[in-house]
Amino acid sequence: MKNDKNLEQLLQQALSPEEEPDYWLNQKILRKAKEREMMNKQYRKKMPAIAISAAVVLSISSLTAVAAWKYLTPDQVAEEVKDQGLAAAFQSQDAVSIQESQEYGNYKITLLGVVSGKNLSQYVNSDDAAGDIRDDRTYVVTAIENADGSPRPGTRDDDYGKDPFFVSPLIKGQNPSLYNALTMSGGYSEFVQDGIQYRITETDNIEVFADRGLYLAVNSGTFYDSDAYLFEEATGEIARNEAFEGVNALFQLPLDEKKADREKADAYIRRLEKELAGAEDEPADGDGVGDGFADGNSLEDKSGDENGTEQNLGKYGLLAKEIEGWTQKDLEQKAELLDDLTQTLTVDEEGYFSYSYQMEADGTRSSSGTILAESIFKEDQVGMSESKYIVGGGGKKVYIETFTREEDGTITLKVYQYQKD
Amino acid sequence: MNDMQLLQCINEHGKSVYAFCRQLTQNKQEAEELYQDTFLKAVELKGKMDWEKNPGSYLISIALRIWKNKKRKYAWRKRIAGMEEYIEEAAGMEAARQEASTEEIFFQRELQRQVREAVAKLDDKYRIPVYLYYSQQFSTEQIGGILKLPQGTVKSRLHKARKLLRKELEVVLDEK
Repeated sequence: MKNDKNLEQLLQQALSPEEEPDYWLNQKILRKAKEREMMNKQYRKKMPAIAISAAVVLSISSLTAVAAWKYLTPDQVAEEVKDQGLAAAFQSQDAVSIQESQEYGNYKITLLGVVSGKNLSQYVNSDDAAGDIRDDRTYVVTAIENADGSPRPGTRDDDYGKDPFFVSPLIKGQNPSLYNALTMSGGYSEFVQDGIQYRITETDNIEVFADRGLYLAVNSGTFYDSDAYLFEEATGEIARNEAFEGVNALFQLPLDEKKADREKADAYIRRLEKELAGAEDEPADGDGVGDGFADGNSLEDKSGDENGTEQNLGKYGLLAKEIEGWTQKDLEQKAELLDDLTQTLTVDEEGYFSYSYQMEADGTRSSSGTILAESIFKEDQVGMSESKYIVGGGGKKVYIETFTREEDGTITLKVYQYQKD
Repeated sequence: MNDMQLLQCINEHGKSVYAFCRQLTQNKQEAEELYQDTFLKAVELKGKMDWEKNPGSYLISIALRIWKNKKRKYAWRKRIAGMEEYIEEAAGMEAARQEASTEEIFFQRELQRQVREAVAKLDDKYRIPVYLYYSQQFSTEQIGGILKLPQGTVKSRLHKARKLLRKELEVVLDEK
């Protein structure tokens, strides 16, 4: 018995994870994921260095003309990433040109411009989880240089990405640890030209907050660093933490206060709050869908705290739990089979099958996925998998995806529509 | 999953997924490849990954699947070489730690090294449940989900694994 106890203890001690993955290994994954995403979207994050055009358009600001000559203008930056739509937006009257630099350590950060609006970019940004198109966006252009004048590494250099930056708009009054580019569906594209690293950061449209005060933060690292800034809850002010060792630039984002919309701003915050709380509820403006995966694994409470799980599951999670145990017969009785969406799918060499379909004829709601057959079927199982996917469909409507393995090894996808009373 | 969500996922689960990859492959280079492939596959699976709820077991399932596929491609000789390298490396790490340790910690670490070595020598059908149970802290039910095995089978494999380990580690356990 003593030996049993000893062995248990020893196994736990000896096998507890100690080593961490190398920082650069994680960076490599992020870069590769980004590259793959860009390849899929026919959109390159990495741009080869191209000789700068001789006809550089100077910034309209005469005060900063000395500095202006060396930077590309925001529309040129957009053109470099082959986004003509965004380039045109940066040339429009709605765009704000800024030429403000801040220097910390060996880095000089310059805020070049910002523009917001619907359908500005010709590239679609979608929320992968929900398949939503996010078309109302804010785009901020920044330039990052080495303060000693040495060139920043090009995107093909080995050193590229070794000193990463996180660029994010922040909202006065909202805790920046929670409300930053990450939660505001952010993304960026970037290239290096003439030793200057240009980045277009995009997030959901933040113009609605223009009257509250907006900032642009640039901190070292790939993520928002809460040590880099100070948030004063009482006033909502966000400030640089002077004691922070690293880059923590903070600019005011001068957006047009006339574009502020308190109602929409509040609705947006409520939506983010819900998302942050894990309650994948229907957003106030009607777009965005939650989805849940109904199987034992995903719903299992690791800690064994039932109440905690219930609270964290959110609406779709609870629904998923309800639907989890449904048999094919239950589905047929309680939900409506959408015959047109039934598909026969083939499993590839690696054991995966893929599907995609549109729930609404106008293409506003769609679902797609690639699933490892082994992950949802037991070995040699024929018949319907216990795992079902639930896709939010607006209001109280959800779509339930089921997968049935046939005798010949093909998978049949069936989609049911279910409306909860 | 967008790149920021991926980053968050790596921050939260990278360490345990990496540990699992190291344990599975017993080789640093292969572990790094497997770790990378696991997250890239997770990105490929996009919205179907329930990363907000319980991505841990999902990522482990992906890692296991990729490893099983790749394992067939490696010659057994290479695996043996890899295991030796891992064990030597682990021993080296212990040696480095020991410099600053007291005698007691030294023996404790040495014990742990021997335990890791004994687990690494187990057949995969015992070794993997042991890692999932003791290192990843999954329940037997969760392990059953990951390995596509009934919970009872997982329990009996863990029981057998402990039995084998007790035999292998008889001397050190008695000393302890």
